[in-house]
Amino acid sequence: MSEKESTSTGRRDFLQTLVAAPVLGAATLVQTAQAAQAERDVFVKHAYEEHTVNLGEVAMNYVVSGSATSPALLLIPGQTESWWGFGRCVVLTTRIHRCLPPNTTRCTAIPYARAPSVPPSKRLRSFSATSGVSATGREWWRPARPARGRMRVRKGVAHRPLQRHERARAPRLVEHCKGLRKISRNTIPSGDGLSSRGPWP
Amino acid sequence: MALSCPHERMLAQVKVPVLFTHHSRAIDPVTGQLVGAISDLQATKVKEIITAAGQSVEYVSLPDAAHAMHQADPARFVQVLTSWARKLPA
Repeated sequence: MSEKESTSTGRRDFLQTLVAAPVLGAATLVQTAQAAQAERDVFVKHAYEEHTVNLGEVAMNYVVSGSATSPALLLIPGQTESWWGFGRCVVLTTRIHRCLPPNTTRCTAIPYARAPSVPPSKRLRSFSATSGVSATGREWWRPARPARGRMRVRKGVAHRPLQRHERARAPRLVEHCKGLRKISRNTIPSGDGLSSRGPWP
Repeated sequence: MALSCPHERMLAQVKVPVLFTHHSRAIDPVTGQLVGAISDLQATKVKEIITAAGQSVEYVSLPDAAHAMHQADPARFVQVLTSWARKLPA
């Protein structure tokens, strides 16, 4: 190969690299997003199976409940919120949906999900210092004046049995959740995943 | 957000029936600022715009409801939602 040919080949390779770089970069971004999705260890088991769809810019996870033949109800959480916020609503909506005439059902729920940035164990620990919280470790489960319907819901919240390390860390929370579970057995029908295992982590 | 997404323009193009639940809100007596997501006056305007767009809007005032009612009181949220949904034409 002459020196002229070698220079030409090198220039062509350089140009090809320049042209391919954005494409390779985009592909790398997508691969990185997919890899990050797969490697995230912040997920915990839910009552609903989480699905994931790659929208190009983001990998979005969601859950679906209810009959596929029913009109869809799309539940979109607000800013910075996870689909977990709608978890209880999905249960209730689906249950009510089963009690309605077929032509009035609108209960297929498809919440959007965002991966929580804080592991569940840390969230629970942070809530052990507060009072009137649920086993979900969510502050919003502390209403100022519980209404009748709200109490029913709260009774149904503390479904997840606390793990050993959680019991050791949060004795007050344990007592609180024991009471909730005791009441929930009397108010929430069993067999639908609510009595012992709710949609919460 | 309202700068790049004018609410009046968006609301004027609503093409479906609307359930508008208005939760906890107040006016701070000291500063006169709104404490909440939307004021009564703004809610009234929303209803006017959607109605003018030819869509039905059901306004439900829930001043004792939390901003995220679906989290704080999911039973109430579902009750309000399904009550409205039952009245929609099949």
